[in-house]
Formats: sequence, structure tokens, C-alpha cells
Amino acid sequence: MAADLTVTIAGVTLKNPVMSASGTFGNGREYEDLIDLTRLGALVTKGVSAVPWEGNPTPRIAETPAGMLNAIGLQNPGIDVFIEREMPFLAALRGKGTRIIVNVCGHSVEEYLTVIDRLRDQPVDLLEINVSCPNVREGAIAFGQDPVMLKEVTEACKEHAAQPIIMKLTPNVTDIRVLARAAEEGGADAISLINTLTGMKIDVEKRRFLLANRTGGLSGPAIHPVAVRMVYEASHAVSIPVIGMGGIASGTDAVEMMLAGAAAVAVGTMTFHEPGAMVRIIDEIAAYAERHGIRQIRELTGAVQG
Amino acid sequence: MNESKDRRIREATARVIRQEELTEGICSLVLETGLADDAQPGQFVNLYCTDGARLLPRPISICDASEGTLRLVYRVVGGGTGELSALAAGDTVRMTGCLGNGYDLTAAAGKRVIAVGGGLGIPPMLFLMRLLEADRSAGGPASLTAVLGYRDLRTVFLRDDFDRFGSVVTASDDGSVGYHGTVVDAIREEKLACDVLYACGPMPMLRALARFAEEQRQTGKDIKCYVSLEERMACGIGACLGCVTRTAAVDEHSRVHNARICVEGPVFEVSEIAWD
Ligand SMILES: Cc1cc2nc3c(=O)[nH]c(=O)nc-3n(C[C@H](O)[C@H](O)[C@H](O)COP(=O)(O)OP(=O)(O)OC[C@H]3O[C@@H](n4cnc5c(N)ncnc54)[C@H](O)[C@@H]3O)c2cc1C
Ligand SMILES: Cc1cc2nc3c(=O)[nH]c(=O)nc-3n(C[C@H](O)[C@H](O)[C@H](O)COP(=O)(O)O)c2cc1C
Ligand code: FES
Repeated sequence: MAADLTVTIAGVTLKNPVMSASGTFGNGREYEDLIDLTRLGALVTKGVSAVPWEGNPTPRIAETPAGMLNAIGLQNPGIDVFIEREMPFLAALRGKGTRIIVNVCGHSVEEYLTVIDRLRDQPVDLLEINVSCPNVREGAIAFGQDPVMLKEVTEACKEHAAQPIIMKLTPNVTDIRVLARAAEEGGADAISLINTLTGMKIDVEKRRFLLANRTGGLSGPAIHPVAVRMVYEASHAVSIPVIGMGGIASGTDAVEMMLAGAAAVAVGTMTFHEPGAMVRIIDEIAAYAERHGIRQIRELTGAVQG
Repeated sequence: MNESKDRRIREATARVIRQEELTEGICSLVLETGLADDAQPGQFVNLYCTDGARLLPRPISICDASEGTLRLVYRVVGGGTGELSALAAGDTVRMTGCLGNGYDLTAAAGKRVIAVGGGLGIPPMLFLMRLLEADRSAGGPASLTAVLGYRDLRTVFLRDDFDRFGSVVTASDDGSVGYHGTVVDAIREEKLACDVLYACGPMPMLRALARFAEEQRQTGKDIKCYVSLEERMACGIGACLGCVTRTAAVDEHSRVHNARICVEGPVFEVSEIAWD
């Protein structure tokens, strides 16, 4: 008998534990020709802000061994265009059983709330709040780098949101457990991690930074062991569900993330290498379950022994 | 930056028919793939490496396409193109395509056309010239000239392939082939009449062409100049927003001034771009 792949996050049941990682899958439409979107447990959108964001200067991308750096700067058209142009497609996909998660970004608490308020009556299952954005009122520090700020923004988002909220944590902190707890205390329904690790690459021939922004976020298989460690630590610090991501390239990586404590997983950079990666990973998870006689995939969450 | 209406992007595993080195470090790769069937000049394909350390696709312009076969001409500059250069007949390579908008060939109807290629911008001009030449009798361009820029004699490649499709003018940085100077110098000195320019090449060349087109417009001439841009890419299909260029007007996708080179481009009319 085929294993039950469903997982439940904050009361929302996904047909399987695999979702796209925000910013690596556009708003789904872009990949329509290349992958069967209805196979996905959930689709996570590109970050949406209150008004259009123009992002960083180029180059925005640099390849690194088994990974990449990006400094897109969250370019997006803002919530009004998002609702008008992207929601109909997403609503139709949702009708076919793929859950829709909208990723929200902001430079201030008010900006997050504007987006969240506008999404109240939209056919969206969950909100993912990206707190890796710099708080413009507090210098360059990201909301997710300070437990007090993180708790405050979580409380405010929770109060306004019609949908359950996932706080997406940044790994660029000393102790992820402190931030995971701050999100939980602020009322988060779930947390997701890891966002990208801040990195830098220099072209030694030209003696120049490869990215116009100088620094960028590292993602891809290169960060997978760091992500597994952080998901393990965070999931042991809180009792809310954890969505694990960071370098997942195979069903084995996804299962590893679940054993470390993730209830579901997201796949990002690997899609750039292989547009159909998520579907392959879902099939590989199912094959793993079969091989190990696992009836319900959710049994894997946190099931690492010793 | 007209987004092509019928964007059918597919992933395919292509089979290598043959590969040869045209000149030192520049390879011509002929592939058997169904992706060739709806290829347009100015479009590109994204090739994936097999070395797992190299995750991102390598964008390469389509140098020519006919039913079932695709020709790519590229320079070996790093690990990814190095891997490509090792492919031999019978090997396979995974790719997505065809990507981007391509050149607006309808603009050529009844016009005097110049195709300008500089260095590794030369390959896509071959496909463009071939299609435009085939159109000559059927409402295509009134005249057709290729202006090709090389660094020097040693780096000349594809030059003879162009002879079949119109007159060819060459230029080189050191004067060892054709005009001593840039392609724009060659166009000025030859007093080449043109209403439509199609170009691909390094940024300084494209800037110079944009200035040239602007000067012509100042004198009241109606001239169109289409250029193909490059940027680092992660997806090639409009999802990551890595590959943008500054545009004069607010872009369709993000409503800022940053259009995606992989979807709204790589070809833009020069007036669409914010050159400063
Ligand atoms: C639309 C488009 C069409 C192109 N067409 C051609 C062509 O027809 N012939 C040709 O020789 N080259 C072409 N290029 C450039 C080609 O993509 C790069 O030379 C190639 O990706 C280098 O890969 P590498 O691994 O050998 O080099 P590395 O320098 O090791 O590559 C490292 C990373 O940087 C990226 N990169 C490096 N140079 C460029 C570049 N110039 N543009 C974009 N990304 C780059 C690579 O894709 C990779 O992700 C084109 C680029 C674009 C964007
Ligand atoms: C190009 C790119 C864009 C991204 N954009 C966003 C974003 O808009 N919002 C967000 O929360 N995370 C964003 N991320 C982070 C990813 O969602 C993910 O957390 C990270 O890449 C790790 O997963 P991966 O290694 O599977 O890619 C982006 C990552 C990449 C590579
Ligand atoms: S390469 Fe991803 S949007 Fe162009």
C-alpha cells in the first residue's frame, strides 16, 4: 500500500510535504510549461511587499560550488498587482489541491501589515513572513536578527492575519533557538528555515565583487548540512511545526530534513538546475516510505534516533 | 521587449551530432533536439552541466536552427563551457528552450537592414541573416548587410558562413581584418545606409550603436536598433528576477524600471533601455 504522504501545518493539510521555496519559483506560472504544479504539496510565492520594490543593481547572481549567491533585493510589483495578476492563477491551482502560501516582505511593521490586510479575503492557505528584510527604522538589522523585534513583528502579523502565519527565520544569527522561541512566543503558527546565509564572492582577476550588492545569500546543496543542524535545533526549541529548507536536492535530503524535525520541506535552488526537481523529490520520498514500510510520512518528523 | 506570445518552453535532452573547434577556444556544437523547431533568431537555450558543483544553467544564443537541429557557437571561458567543449558525437546534454523574445523580424520589411555582431555576439546574427535573406523576395528587407567585429585575425570565426546571406563588412581592433576600428566606425566610414539595425555583442559596442541610432534620430531619420543583452541568470524563465536590465519606462512585470532579460529580452529596442 502506498504511504500516506499528507502532512498538516497549522491545521492546513498538504497532499505531500514538498513545497517551492519563496523566490525560486516565481509565482508558479513561470514554471507551468516545465512541471506539473498540481503535484506540489504547496506553492510558496515570491516575496510580496506593500508597494513595488525595484531590488538591487546587477549582477545579482553568482554561482558558487554546489550553490549560488543571490542579491535580488526582493524585486516585486507589490500587493495590488500581485492580487490582480497572480491570484487568479493561484486560486485555480488551489482548486486542484495544491496549497497556496504567500510570502510577505516589508521594511517596517506597517508594510507587512498592509500586505497581510490585503490578503485577508484572498484564497490563500498560509502566510509566510520573511523577516530577513532590514528594518529601515533600526539601521540595517533584519527583523529576524533580534528576538525582541521578531516577537513584536510576529505579534502584529498574527493580530492582522486571517490565515495562519509561518515566520521564516534567517540563519544569520548566533543562536537560532532564541529566535525560534521568540517567534513562537509572538504567536507564530509555524516557523520555516533556513533563509540564505550571507556570503561574498570576489573575482580575483578583476579584483571586483561578483555581486553589485557585494554580499548575497548563499543557497543550494552547499548549505544543506547547516540547514539540517538549524532545523534540528529550532524544532527542539519550540512546539510549533517547522518547515525545513536549504539545499534539498533529493528525496534523501528531504527525509533527512524531516528526521531532523521538519514537518514539511521546501525546495529552492535545485529547481534552477532541474525544473522538475520537486516532482522527482516527491516520488523519491514515496519510494523511501515504501522501502522502509512507512505508512504515514509524518512519522518521520523528528524521528532521528540517538 | 515584446514578450513572445507563444512561449512554449520545454526541457529536453539533446544528442550531440558533432562538435568542432572553429578557432582557438571557440566551439561549434550541433545538437539534435525538437527544441529547434520553434527557435527564433535572438533566442537562447539554457544548458545544464553534469558536474553537480555547477548548478546554474549556461545561456547560449541560437546560432542556427533547422528542423530538429540546433547549432550553438560559444567561447570556452570557464568550467561550464569547458564541460560543453568535451562533448562528442553521441553524447547528450540537458537543456531548456527556446528562451527569450528574439529579434522582431517584422521590422525589417522593406527596410535597409544591417546585422551587427561583435565577438561572441556574431553567432546569433547568422540565424537572423539566413531567415531575412530567405524573406528577401517575400516582403523582407530591401537590403541586407552584416557587419562583424573581431579582436584580430586570429579570432576570426564564422566569417565565411555569412557570405551566402548578403554583403559582409568586417572590422577588427588592430586592423588585421577589415576596418581598423569598431563596427560603428565601419558603418560610418562605409556610409552604410540603414533603417534597421540588429545587434549582439559586448556592452561598449551596444552602447556605441545606441548612440549612433540616437544621432540618426536627431537628424530626423526613422531608425530602429535592436540589441541583445546579457546578464547572469539562475532560471532563464522569468522566475528568479536575477537577470534584469534598467529600462526607460516602467516594466510590465514588476512595475519598476527593471525588465527581465530572459523573458522581456534578451532583445530590446535601444530606446527601451536606460543606458546611463
Ligand atoms: C542570453 C545569453 C546568450 C549568450 N550567448 C552566448 C553565445 O552564443 N556564445 C557564447 O560563447 N557565450 C554566450 N553567452 C555567455 C555564456 O552564457 C557564458 O560565457 C557562460 O555561461 C560561461 O559559463 P562558464 O561556466 O564557462 O564560465 P564561468 O565564468 O565559470 O561561469 C560562472 C557562472 O557565471 C555565469 N556567466 C559567466 N559569464 C557569463 C556571461 N557572459 N553571461 C551570463 N552569465 C555568465 C555562468 O553561467 C555561471 O553561472 C550568453 C549569455 C547570455 C546571458
Ligand atoms: C534567487 C532567490 C530568491 C529568493 N527570494 C526569496 C524571497 O523572496 N523570500 C524569501 O523568504 N526567501 C527567498 N529566498 C530564499 C529561499 O526561499 C530559501 O530559503 C533558500 O534559498 C534556501 O533553500 P534552497 O537552498 O533550497 O534554495 C530566495 C532564494 C533565492 C536563491
Ligand atoms: S534568469 Fe531568472 S528571471 Fe531571468
